[in-house]
Amino acid sequence: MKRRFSLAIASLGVGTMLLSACGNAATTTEGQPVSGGTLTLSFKDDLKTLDPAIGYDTDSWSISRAIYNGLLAYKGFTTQLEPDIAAAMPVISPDGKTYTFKLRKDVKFSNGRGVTADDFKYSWERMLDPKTAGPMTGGSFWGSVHGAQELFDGTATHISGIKVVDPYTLEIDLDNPNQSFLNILAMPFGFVIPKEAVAAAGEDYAHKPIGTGPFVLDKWTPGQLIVLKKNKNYFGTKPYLDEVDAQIGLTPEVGYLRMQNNQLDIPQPDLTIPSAQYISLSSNPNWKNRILRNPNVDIYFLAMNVNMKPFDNKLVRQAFNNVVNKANLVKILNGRAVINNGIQAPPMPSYVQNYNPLGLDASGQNLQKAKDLLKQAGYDASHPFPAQELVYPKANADSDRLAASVQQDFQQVGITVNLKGLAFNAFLDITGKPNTTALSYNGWIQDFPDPSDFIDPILTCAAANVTANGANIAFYCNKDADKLADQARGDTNSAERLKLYQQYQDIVVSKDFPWVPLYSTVETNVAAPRVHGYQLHPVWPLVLTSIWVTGSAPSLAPASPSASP
Amino acid sequence: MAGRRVSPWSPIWNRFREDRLAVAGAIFIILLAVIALLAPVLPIRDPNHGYYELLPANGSPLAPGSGFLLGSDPNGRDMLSRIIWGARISLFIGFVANGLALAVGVTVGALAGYLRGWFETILMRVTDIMMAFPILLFSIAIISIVERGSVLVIVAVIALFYWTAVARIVRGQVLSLKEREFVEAGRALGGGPQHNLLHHILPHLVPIIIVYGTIGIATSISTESILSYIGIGVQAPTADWGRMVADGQDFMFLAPWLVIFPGLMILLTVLAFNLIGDGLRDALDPRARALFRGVIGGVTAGGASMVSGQRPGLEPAGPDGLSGGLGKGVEEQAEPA
Repeated sequence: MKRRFSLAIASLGVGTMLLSACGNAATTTEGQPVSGGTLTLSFKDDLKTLDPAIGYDTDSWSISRAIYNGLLAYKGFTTQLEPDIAAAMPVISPDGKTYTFKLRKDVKFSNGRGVTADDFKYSWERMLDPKTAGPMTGGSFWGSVHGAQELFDGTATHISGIKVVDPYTLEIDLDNPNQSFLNILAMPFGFVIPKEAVAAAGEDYAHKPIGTGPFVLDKWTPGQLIVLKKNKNYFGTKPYLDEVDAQIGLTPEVGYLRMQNNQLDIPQPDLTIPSAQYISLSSNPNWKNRILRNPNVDIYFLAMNVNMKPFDNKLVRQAFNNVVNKANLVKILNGRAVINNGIQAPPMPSYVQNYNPLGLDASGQNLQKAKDLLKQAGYDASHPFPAQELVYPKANADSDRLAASVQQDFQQVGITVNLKGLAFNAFLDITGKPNTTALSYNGWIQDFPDPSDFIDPILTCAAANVTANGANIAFYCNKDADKLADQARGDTNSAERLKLYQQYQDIVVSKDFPWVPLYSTVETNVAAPRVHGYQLHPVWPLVLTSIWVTGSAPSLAPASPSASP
Repeated sequence: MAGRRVSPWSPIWNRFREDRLAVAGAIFIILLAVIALLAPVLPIRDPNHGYYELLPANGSPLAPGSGFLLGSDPNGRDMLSRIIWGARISLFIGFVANGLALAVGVTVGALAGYLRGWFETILMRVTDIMMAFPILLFSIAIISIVERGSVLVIVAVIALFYWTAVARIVRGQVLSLKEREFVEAGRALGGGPQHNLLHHILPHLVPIIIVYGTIGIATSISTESILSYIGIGVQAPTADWGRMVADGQDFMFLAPWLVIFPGLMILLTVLAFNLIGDGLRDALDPRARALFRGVIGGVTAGGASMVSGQRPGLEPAGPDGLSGGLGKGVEEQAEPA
C-alpha cells in the first residue's frame, strides 16, 4: 500500500512519548563528513507539487522538507520539537489557547529577503484559503485556529486568530486547547513562503518554489529531473551536499538494480524496499548491513463500512475479525511488519504490547469462532454469505499478493471475496465517499507522532460525516467513544491521556469492530556505498541535511524512452 | 468398383505427418489439452491455495524441486498446478474466441463476397474500420467499461478483433470461387445464394478455415496472455500464464522460474499452433484445386499439385500476436483468381 497521510487535531506532550525506535535505526555513518558532491535519487512518478500548502504525499514531502522551514522542527532524528524559524519555543497561555512566538531575525528566503511574522500570516492564510485548493481547505488540522472557519466559508479574508504583534512576534489564538498544535505547526502546511514569489509565479508556484531551507530548487524538468542546489542564504547549519539530483520515471525495481550497479544513490527514498529487492539485498553480504530499518508509525487494516450491507450487522464484523491470517501477510512482507490486533502503532506510547482482546491465535485468526458468528448472523448453507469485493490500492506486486492472501482466508470460511486493485488516487476517491465501498484494505501512516492522529481523522463521527474525500473509511461513529476522544484531546496529563486512548481502543476493537486490524510495518531503505550519514526519520520521508557523499556522482541515464526527449 | 477405398483425408494426413515440426506441435497440443482437461482429477495441489506455512520467514518463493516440482510463487502457490490450470484458460480462450471469430468472419466474408453490391460495401468497410483500431487500446477501453476479468468478456473482445482478418480472406476466396464453372452450374440449375454458398462454396473454404483456425488460436492465446499481463485479462487468483508472468516479474532475478515457466508455456503453445497451422497449410495447399476437388468430392486426388512445394503467401501471426500478417498474404493470393 502506499502511504496515506491523515488530517488530525490534538496531542500528547510529545516529549513524553519519544520513540526509542528512531534511535535504534542504523545509519550509514562512517568516517568524517565531507562537504560537496552530488546525491542522486529516483522517484517513480513526477512530484505533484512543491507548494507546501498543497503537497500531501511522501514524494512531495521528501523534497519540500529540504526547501522550506516552519516555526518548529523535529530535533535531529527524534520526534521532539525544537525551534526552527522561531527563536524559542512559544509561550503558551495558561488556558492553552494562545501561543506567542518570537521569530529569529536572521532568516532569509533564498531570494535574499528577510522573513517576518507577516510572511507566516500570509502563508497560512493562503494555505487555508479555499482558492488555493489545498487539502487543508476542508478545515481539519487548522480548524481549531480562531477564525479559520470564517476564511473557509469566505466570510473573512483574514484569520482573526493569527496576529502579527510586531515583525518578529506572532500570536495564534485557538478556540479550544489542542495538545498537538505544535506538531501541526511543524507540518509542511505550516511552512513559510514569500508573497512575491507566489505573485511572480502566478498559477505555477507549485513548480517555482522559494523557501528558506537548506536547498533551493535549481531546475525541474517535468517528468524527468529535479535538481536542488545548496541554499547560500540558509540560516541554519549548511548541508554537506552541493547538489541533489532526483530522476523521475524510474520504478523502484529498476532503481534498485541501478543502485547495485552504482548508477544511483537512493532509489525511491520515501517508500520501503519492494519485497523482491528486499529479499535479494538482505541476503547479499555486500548490502545486508547497509539496509536501514525504522518501525513505521502506521497501521494496516480492513475497513468494513458500517452503513453498508452486510457489515451493518455487528456479528458479521466480529466474524470478519476472526478470519484473516495476519502471519501470512507479515510473511509476504518478508517479516518487515508485526501483527497488530489493535488500532495504535507499536512506536506509540498508547500501543499495548500483545494486545489481543478477541483471543485470536498467533496468526490473528479463530476460524471456528468466525463460522459460529456467521451462523449467528443468519448465514448458513441455505443462506450463503454474499460475495464481497475487496478494494485495495495497488502500489506494486506486493499489494496483489497481500490481497490474494486475504482472499484465501475468507475462502476458508466459505466467503467469496473478489479483488479489485485500484490506482491510489482512484482508491482514495471511492473509499472516501459514503455508501460506496463496503470492504477495503487500508493503510494509515502518521502525520505526526501522536495517538490522536490514529483516531480523530479516521474513526470519529466528525470524520464519518463527510460527502467525499473522507478518511474514516468504515464510516464508524460511536458518540460515547467520541466523548473519550474529545476528553483525551485536551487532556494535559499524559498518563491519563494514554489511558483514555486505550479505553477508546477497547471500544473499537472488542465492541464495535469497524476494522480488522492487520499489522504495522517496518520501513526499510538502502543507499549506495558512497552515501554516508543517511538515516531514517520517524516523521519525514527523507532528510537530506545529514547526508554526505564520497567519490563522484553517478551520471543519471535516461529513465526510459518515454521520459527522454 | 474395385480397389481399396481410400479416405479423402489420407493424402493430407500423409503429407502432414511428413512435417516433423508440425507433428511435434500437434503432439504437444494434444498432450497439453489432455492434461488441462484432466486437471481437476490429477493429483496436483490446488492452484489457488497458498502454502504460506512452507515458505521461509522472509517470504522468499520456493525453488523448483523442493516439494514443488516447478517451485512456488511468493504466495506459496504451486507453480506446476498453476501452469496446468492456466492451460485450461489459455486453451479455452484460444479455441472459443477463435471459433467465434471464424464463425463471424466466414459468415461476413462469404456473404460479402457472394452478394456483392451495397451489402459488400457496408460489411467490408465495417471490417476495414475494425482493422484500423489499435487492438490493445480498444481492448483496454472495452474491458474497462464492461466487467473486468470475466473470461467470456475476454473471449468476446478477442473474437471482436480477429473476425476481420478471416472475413477478408474468405471474401477474397469467395470472389474467385463464385466465378468458377461449378458455381455457375449451380446457379444455372436454379440454386439460390443459400444453396450455392452452403453446398458449393463453403466446402471449398474448409481448408482455409482449418489453417486460419489453427494459426488464429495461437494469435488468440497470445492476445489473451497480453491482456492478462497488463492486468485487464483474467483476474486473481485464477491461474493464467500471462498473469503469472506479470505477477512474477518483480522477482525475475531472484526467482526466475516465476516468469520462465509460464513464459515458456506461452511460447511453446503459440509456437505449436503456428507449426500445426503451417503444416496444415502445406498439406492442404489452397492453390491445389485438384486436391480440393478430390477431397471434397470424395475422390482420391492426384498428387501433382501437392508436391509443388511452393508456399503460398500466408504468414504466421507476428511474434507479438497482434501484428500478424494474417490478412495481407491471403488477400494477394486471392486476387489473381
